[in-house]
Amino acid sequence: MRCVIKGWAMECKQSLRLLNAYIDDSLSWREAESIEKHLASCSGCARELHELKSLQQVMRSLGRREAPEGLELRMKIQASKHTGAWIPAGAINRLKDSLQPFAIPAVSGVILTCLFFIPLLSIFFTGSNLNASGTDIPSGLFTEPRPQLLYPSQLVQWENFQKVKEPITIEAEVRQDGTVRNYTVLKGPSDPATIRSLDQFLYFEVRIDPATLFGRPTPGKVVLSLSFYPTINEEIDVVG
Amino acid sequence: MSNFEIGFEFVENEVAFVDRLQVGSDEAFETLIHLYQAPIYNVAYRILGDASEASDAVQETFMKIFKGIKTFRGESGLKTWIYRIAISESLNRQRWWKRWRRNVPVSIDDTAPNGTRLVEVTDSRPSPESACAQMEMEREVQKALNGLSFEHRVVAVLRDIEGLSYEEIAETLGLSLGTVKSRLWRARSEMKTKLESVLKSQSRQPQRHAFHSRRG
Repeated sequence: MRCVIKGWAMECKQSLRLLNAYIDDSLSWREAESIEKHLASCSGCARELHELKSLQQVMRSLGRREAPEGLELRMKIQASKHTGAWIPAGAINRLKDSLQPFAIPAVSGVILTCLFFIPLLSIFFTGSNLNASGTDIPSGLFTEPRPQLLYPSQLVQWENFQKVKEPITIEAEVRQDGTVRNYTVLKGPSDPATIRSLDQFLYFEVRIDPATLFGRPTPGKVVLSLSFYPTINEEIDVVG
Repeated sequence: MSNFEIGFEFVENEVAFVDRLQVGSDEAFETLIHLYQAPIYNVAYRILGDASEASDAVQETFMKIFKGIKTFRGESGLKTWIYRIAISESLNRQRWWKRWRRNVPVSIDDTAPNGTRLVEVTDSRPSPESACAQMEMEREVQKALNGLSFEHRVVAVLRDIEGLSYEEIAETLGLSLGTVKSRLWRARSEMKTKLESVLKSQSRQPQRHAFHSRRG
């Protein structure tokens, strides 16, 4: 505290700066002790301290100014307006507060999703159009292959089929002359005996009207369902 | 210890008290009004120097407290938060006052002081002479306060009238401790100059008690 180099004037300046904190009891014990030492020897600073204390006493003696009557009541009335509908409002605000951080990410997410999926959706819709078969809308431009009336032949070994209790579904590729080029068993038995009989039947017996495109025969595909019943073994049900 | 501090001990736990305020407890609101109405009015009155302006400032302050308490996060103390609102409201009113009513003479006695207020002042049983002297002194002090700049007045009121600590003042006003100290030093220097005659007469009277008996 004591500044030997710059002398007493500096010490007073320093002490005056600290006097406020001193009367507010905001100095450390060491600072308070050194300022008290200085005050004991410096009448100017002691006078300053005395004036500051007088001012502080005057300010404190003002007391608390009494609020006008009715102010407290007005406050309470005002408060009651806020306590009434508070809980729902508070809950809504809390919900808003908690959702607010997600608002921008959520909106941008929705927008990005739309931007990404709208082109895809159009592809899906176009795709379904591409998958539509020519017979969906009969236009005459394209006709499916159609089997002619089928009847049994001596060449087919019907006894093989008679063992088959379930219908056989096949998909046959038909040439433009109406003969079967190849076929696949989609459903039903595929044991060698049945396959042999099916080969005999499909390659040599059955006749199919070929598919046409703009009236000209063209290769196509047809799905046939063949049912064999032991009692009526001559009936072949064909579904085109 | 001021009335405010006594009241605050009654509240015990500030966090629980704020929770009750935030869920809209009538009882907590009443306690809040009971505790803070007087100090806020006093601060507003000392800053503005006018009773009706101070009443308006108190009403506005409480309105803001009621609206804002649900967003109060406890980053500062409730007390300093409330004082901050009150001071900002007082500043708003002072600006309005300066703009619109600059030329209207202001009297600090526009509400007649009643007996109960005088009882609060140091002497418990004042004689008419001392009550008169007290009134005269109060008028002088208020005049001196009104002569200070707003920032110096606020610091002087919060420290020397309301008894807030340096730290509380710094938090309330959002200032550094150093700024608070320097403003207080300037405010007191100005007050001493303005109240020279009052202080001289005061120093002639016997000192009633030691000053730095309480801390902060």
